[in-house]
Amino acid sequence: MNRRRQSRASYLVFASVVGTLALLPAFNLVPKEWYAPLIFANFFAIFAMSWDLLAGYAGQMNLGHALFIGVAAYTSGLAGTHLEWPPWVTIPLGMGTSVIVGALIGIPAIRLRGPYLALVTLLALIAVYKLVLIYSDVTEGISGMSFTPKNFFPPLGYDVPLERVKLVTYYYSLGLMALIGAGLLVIAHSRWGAIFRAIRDNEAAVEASGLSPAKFKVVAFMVSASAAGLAGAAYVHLPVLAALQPAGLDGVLSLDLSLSIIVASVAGGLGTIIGPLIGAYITKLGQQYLSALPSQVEALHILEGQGWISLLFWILLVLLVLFARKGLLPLLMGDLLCRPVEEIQIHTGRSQQ
Amino acid sequence: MSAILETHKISKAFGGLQAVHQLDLKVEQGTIMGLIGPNGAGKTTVFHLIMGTLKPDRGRIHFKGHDITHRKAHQIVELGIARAFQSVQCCPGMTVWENLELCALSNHLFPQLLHDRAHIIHVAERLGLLPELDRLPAMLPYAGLRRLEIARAIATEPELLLLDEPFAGLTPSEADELSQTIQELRAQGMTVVIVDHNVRSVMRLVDRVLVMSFGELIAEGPPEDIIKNPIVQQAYLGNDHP
Repeated sequence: MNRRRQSRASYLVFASVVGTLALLPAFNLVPKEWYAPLIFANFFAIFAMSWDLLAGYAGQMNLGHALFIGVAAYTSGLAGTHLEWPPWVTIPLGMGTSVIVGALIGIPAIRLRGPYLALVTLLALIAVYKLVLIYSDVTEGISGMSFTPKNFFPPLGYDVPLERVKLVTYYYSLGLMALIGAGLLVIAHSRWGAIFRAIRDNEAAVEASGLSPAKFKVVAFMVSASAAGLAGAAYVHLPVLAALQPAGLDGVLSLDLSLSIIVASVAGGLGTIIGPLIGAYITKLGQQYLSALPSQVEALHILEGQGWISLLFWILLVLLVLFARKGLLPLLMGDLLCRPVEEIQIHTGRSQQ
Repeated sequence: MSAILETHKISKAFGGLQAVHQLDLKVEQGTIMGLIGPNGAGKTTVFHLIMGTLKPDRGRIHFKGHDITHRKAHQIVELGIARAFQSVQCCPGMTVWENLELCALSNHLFPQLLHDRAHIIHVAERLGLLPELDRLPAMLPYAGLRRLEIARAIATEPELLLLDEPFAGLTPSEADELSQTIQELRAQGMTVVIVDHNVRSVMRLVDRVLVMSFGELIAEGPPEDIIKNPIVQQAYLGNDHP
C-alpha cells in the first residue's frame, strides 16, 4: 500500500465520518439529550487530531496538550468578557496566543526527548493552571468563567429556542471539526508530514538529509497548537457551555483532558489522524452512553451513581490497548490508512558479520 | 589540484581517550581518498567532526574555503558534504522513494524538491534501487540497505561524499558493484572519502590513502606505497600484505 493510496483512503474515511455526522440531525437520528455530548465530541475530536499530529506523527510526547487549548480558551474568554471584544477578534487572538505558546514549548523540544519533554509539557500545563488560580479575580479561578450572550458564537438571538441553539451549535462545531481536521490531514500528507514522520523515526537521518530537525519540531508544535488553540478559543464561546472551567474532565487546563486526549488517540490508532478522530467519538460518546445505561436498564440500576460503568469503560479501553495496541483503526482497516509501526524494523544483522 | 576539504590540527578527546590528535588532512577535489586504520584509530570520529555531529576540541575544518568547524550537521549537508553511515540511518517507516525524496528536499520552512523527480529516479537507478522504490527498507536485503544508505547521501547532490565502511557485510560481487558505482561518481566530478576495514576493496579503488593509528596520521600516499610502508604494516596490517 503506497502513501498516495493511504492518503486518498484517509480523506475518504474522513469525508465519510463528517458526512455521516452531518446527516444525523437531518434524519432525526440524534435524540435531544445527545446534542451536547456530540458538540463536545466534535471539539474533542479536534483536540485528539491535533495531538496526533504532534505526538503520533512527529513523535513529540506531549502530556500537557490541554495547555494549548486552555491558553487559547482563556485568552479568548478574557478578551471577550473584560475587553468586550467580539468573538471574531477573540478567537483568532486566542489561537495566535496558543501558537506562540506552542513555539515556546517547541524550543526546549529541540534538545529534550521522551520522558523529559513529556515532563516539560506537563509542568508548563500545571504552571498555567496555577496562574489561572492565582489571578482568580480576573479568571474567576476554579469556579469557572461565565459568559453573556454577546460572547456567544455562533451568534444567536436571545429569543432562540434551546433546541435550535443546540442544532446550530452542533453544525458550527462539526464545521469547525471538518475544517481543522481536513487541514490537519492535508498537513499530515504533505512534505511537512513526511518530515514529521522522519523526525519520529530517525532524527539523525533527517539531519543527514540536510534538514533541520529543530526547525521542523518547532513547526510541529506550532501547527498542533494552532489547531488545538483555534478549537479551544472557539469552544469557550459556545452557547451551550455553562462556564469555562480550568479543572475537571472538561476543564480546559486539566490533566484529565490531556490524558483523555491521549487515551482517545492511542485507542483510535496513533499517527493516522483518522484513528484519533474515531477514538475521540468512541471514548466521548461511549462514556455518555454507558453512564446513561443504568437509568435505562432495570438490571443495571444497582450500578447507578457508583462509577462502576465508568470503571468498566476504562477497563474496556485498557483491554483494547492490550490486545490491539496499534489502535482500533489499524485493527479494523489494516494498512489501508497507515503503516503499522511493528512492520518497520530494520534488520542490519550482516553488519555484525 | 585544489583541496576541497582541509582539517587543520583538529583534536577530539572523550574523557581521557584522545580519539583524534592534531590531525591535518587534505582532500583533493575529484579524487577518491581512503582513510584506513585499525579499530579505534579514530576514523569514524573524523567523519563525525567533518559532518558536525561532533565538535573538535581544537583545530579548524574548511570546506571549499568555508570554515565549517562550528556549523550544524544539516548546514554542512546543505553546503555539499554528505555521509553514508556505517549503520544504516534511513527512516524505517518510509518507502525507499520517500527516503530518497526526503534527501532531495530544501531546508526551507516550506520545503521544495531541489531537483525534479527524474533526479531521484536517476539516483535510484544508479544504485540499483528502481525495483524497490515502493518497498519499506525492512523488506530490502542487507546489500539493498547499504545501497539505500549511499543513495540517500547521493540524493543530497554532494560535492564531497563520505562513505563509512561501505563494503562491510557485502559479498565480493556486491562490493565490486559498489566499487564501480563509486568510480562512476568520481568520473562525474564527485570527491569521495572512504573509511573501511576491507583494505583490499579500498586499495583497489582509491587514489590516495591516509592511515590513522591511535588518533594520529601515521602515513599518507598512493596505495602501492602504503602497502609497502613498514610503519603501516607494523601498526595496521601486521606482517601480511593486504
